[in-house]
Amino acid sequence: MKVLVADDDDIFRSLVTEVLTEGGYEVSAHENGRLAWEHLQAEGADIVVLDVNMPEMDGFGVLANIRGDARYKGLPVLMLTIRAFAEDQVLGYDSGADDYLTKPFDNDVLLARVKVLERRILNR
Amino acid sequence: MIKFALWLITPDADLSARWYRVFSRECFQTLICASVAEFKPDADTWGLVFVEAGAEGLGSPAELAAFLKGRKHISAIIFCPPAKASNQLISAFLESGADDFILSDLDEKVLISKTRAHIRRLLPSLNSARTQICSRCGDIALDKARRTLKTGVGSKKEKTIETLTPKEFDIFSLLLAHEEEVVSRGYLMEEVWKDKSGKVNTETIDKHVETLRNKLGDYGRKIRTVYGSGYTFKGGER
Repeated sequence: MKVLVADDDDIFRSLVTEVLTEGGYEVSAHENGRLAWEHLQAEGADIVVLDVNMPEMDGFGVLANIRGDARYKGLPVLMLTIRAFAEDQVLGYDSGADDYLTKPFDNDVLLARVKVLERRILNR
Repeated sequence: MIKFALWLITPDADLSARWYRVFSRECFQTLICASVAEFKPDADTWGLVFVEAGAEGLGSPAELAAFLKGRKHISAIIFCPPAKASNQLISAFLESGADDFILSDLDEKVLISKTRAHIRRLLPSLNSARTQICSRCGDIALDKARRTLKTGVGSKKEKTIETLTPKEFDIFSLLLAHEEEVVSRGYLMEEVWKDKSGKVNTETIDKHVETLRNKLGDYGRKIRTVYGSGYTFKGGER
């Protein structure tokens, strides 16, 4: 199961990669939204984990591209961000995110939430 | 007839009354149960069940797994007061089949957005089961099972389109199901021609779409070409 991760923070990107890799996922991590979007179109992914504040293309930009393209119909997206205000979460869900987790996060909860997204794919 | 509903299972009457008001404002059909034993959905009812962790019959993740067994059309969202929540508890319920875990003091706007996201996720399966697709403004009705298509629904111009070939019907089904989204030629090939998609070229698809546009008249003009990508159906307003 391939997970695409986009986060401009080196520490969080490494941590997410480590948690998901140890959880058995094949992770492709990128430092901005544009690189992640290009990777998605070239290589595909089963699940996407997006930070919001990133240079070049932010997480909402990537999410808008995904939800506007029928090739990625049903592709699960989890927003993983420091933006914890209710307004930010509403914007995330209303823009098409499947889940929204705020930083700092618990490693086990992140892994469990990604597993929920995986289960939805397998149960379709 | 397949139905869709939300259920609240909690012994906390104040909370269920508050969330009932929130969901009712959004016109979600909501049913309240004081305990898991009261939860008895019809076999043809799909939906979301909000269950309080610790409610009678749902005290542990293992009980959740048993509760969900055989209920594949039901998606469970577990909640509890912040004082009782822990990362260990959240992970355990998620791993046992819950689709989400929320806190009972969750902001009402976030609760609604989250609920809409879950419904959005469940609706494609529900729509697929229903076999009927309507345009957003309701003027087009397509029945995949009966393979019928009506335009101008509810107006004096209502008519049944009977001239589409099976391929044209399938292409329009996909464009209508993805109204306002870009549907790539590759996706159309895979979904319409399936295992023969490798033998189809883009010109074939363009030709089918051109014929489809002509047969649909005014509605055909709502099928727009997206340069370099594919097509999009822009139903607009009546």
